[in-house]
Amino acid sequence: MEKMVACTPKIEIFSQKDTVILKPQGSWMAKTAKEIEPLCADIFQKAFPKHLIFDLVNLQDFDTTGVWLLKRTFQMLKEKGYRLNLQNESDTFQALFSRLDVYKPSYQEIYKPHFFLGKWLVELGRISISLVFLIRDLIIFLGQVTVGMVFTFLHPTHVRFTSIVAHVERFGVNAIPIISLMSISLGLVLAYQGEEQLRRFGAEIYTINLVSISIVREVGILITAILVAGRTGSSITAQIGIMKINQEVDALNTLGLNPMEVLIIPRVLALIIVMPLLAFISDLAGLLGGGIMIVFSLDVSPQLYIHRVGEAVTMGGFWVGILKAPLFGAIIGIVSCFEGMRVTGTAESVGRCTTRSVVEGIFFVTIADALLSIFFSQIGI
Amino acid sequence: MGTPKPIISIRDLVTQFGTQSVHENLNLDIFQGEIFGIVGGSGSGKSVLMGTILGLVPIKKGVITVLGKKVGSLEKIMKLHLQSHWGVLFQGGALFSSLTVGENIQIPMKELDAIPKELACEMAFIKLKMVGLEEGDFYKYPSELSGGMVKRAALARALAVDPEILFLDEPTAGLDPISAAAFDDLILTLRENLNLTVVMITHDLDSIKRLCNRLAVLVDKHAIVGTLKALLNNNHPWIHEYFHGIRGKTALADLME
Repeated sequence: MEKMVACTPKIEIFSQKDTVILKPQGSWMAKTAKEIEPLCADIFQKAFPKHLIFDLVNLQDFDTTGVWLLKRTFQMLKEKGYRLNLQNESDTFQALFSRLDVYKPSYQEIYKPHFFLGKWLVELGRISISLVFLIRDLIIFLGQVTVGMVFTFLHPTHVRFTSIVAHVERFGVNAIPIISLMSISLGLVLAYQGEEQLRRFGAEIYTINLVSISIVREVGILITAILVAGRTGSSITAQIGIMKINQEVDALNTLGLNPMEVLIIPRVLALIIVMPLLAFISDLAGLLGGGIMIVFSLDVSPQLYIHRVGEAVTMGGFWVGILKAPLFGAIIGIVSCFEGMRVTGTAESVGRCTTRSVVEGIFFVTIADALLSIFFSQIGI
Repeated sequence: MGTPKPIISIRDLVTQFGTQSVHENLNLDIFQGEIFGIVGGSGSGKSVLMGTILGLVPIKKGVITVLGKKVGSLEKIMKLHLQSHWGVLFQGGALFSSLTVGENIQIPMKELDAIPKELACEMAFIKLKMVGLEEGDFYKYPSELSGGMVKRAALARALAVDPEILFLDEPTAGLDPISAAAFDDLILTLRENLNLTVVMITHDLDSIKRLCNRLAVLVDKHAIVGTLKALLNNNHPWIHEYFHGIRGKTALADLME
């Protein structure tokens, strides 16, 4: 295995009357390319007579890279008006050397000029157009899902109950621990911070109102929506995306199964069912967390805490929180299915679409929440 | 060929997944400069065999020597720097989908850390043309290429630093007959030009007939090695069925009397 030992490449130069003989030595391979390139560059520095001979008698090893470097030097010398000859080349070298005439790259292709500002403008335009198309496609998809839903309700035999129940378990039941934990800690933090501020006015007992109203109306449902968008939205997008790459979606179509009916509607419906339940659990956990903090730091008995919560939270306030939940579930479900269906071909696109699914899900949920807050306060709930 | 030193030798190889054994005491020698085919039924462990040579599949027992070095796990192979001595063409191409074709081809060169940047770019163009792609394909992403083009681009990546051994996993599967024949030609030319040793898993009887100097048939967890002519006269029922079945008869008619 001599090949494993790479000999340092060199070029020996012998001068005769009106010719110069160049003898490349050692191994001219990809591994030694860094050493070969300066050798070739050196040749141009020297003033040679117009006739050069490359004698390859001492050339030990070569591969495409080495031969290409020689070939490149050859061409550049030729362009400068030198007369060149090869000597003592082996058959394999000759074969590769002449083959590279066919394979040699054209420099216009490699070093395409890049106009920086132009590229930037093109990119800006591309992003703007894709944003417009994104919104258009999302609206179209929303329409398709709505039509699909109406169709399913009109033909109850098309409802996939098994699938819906399975998704309710995965999206809902399995999410209970993490959502409860997050809500408890949020309740704790809210109570702690609220109490510290209100104490300055001697109104620390109103911490109970602050905690219970904010949790029931806003925080409970928002934290649920954010968690579900991260946890379930991403998994829906990735799953549908991979199914698209594997042509499972195409397979469904050819089997006469509508992907809308089989994949998307069960998921969206499951999220619509699950979200109010999760929001309710999140409310309870948040109140529990706030309660723990208040009972310990305000010296309020648990009974009194529960009583005050009952006074602070009206039925209207409770329903404001819970009624938002199905809407948020639908938003998350539709956005994540939409992004899943947009996956094309590559692993990178799965990553991109999953990210977008979570970001868009949370974005639209927040927008919807803001609009609904204004709406509810206008109608006076 | 005399008795040259084998470039890859496998001795008493045993591979197991759980309790299910795939190879039992498998022996194999592959010599410098030959095109060596590996055939066998589905699930006979062709890909697993290639995986063990490449260090992707753990070996239960036995010794595999590649270029005079004992291989075991992938970490060991990386330490031995064997990766610059072989190129692998996976069945689906396995091009990195987030990189352009050109960048894909340059990855092994960058890993070698011995090729200046501009030269690497030129070399990538050369390899691209070598495998019969257009220069315009250099800036394309793998998702923009057809199946045959993906295979060619993956071959260009496998050849990036002029490996001594080229592993091909079903190179012509999924190609139309014309592209498959062109791919066979390509491998023959490359073998001549670059002095390659080629190890290929294939089901394509035409490729086997045109390319392979010797074959290993994986049956009953062993490898039966020989030239195509010798294997045609083998009496093992599976081998007989393989070469003398309807497809075998059509493809290999001129080799049988």
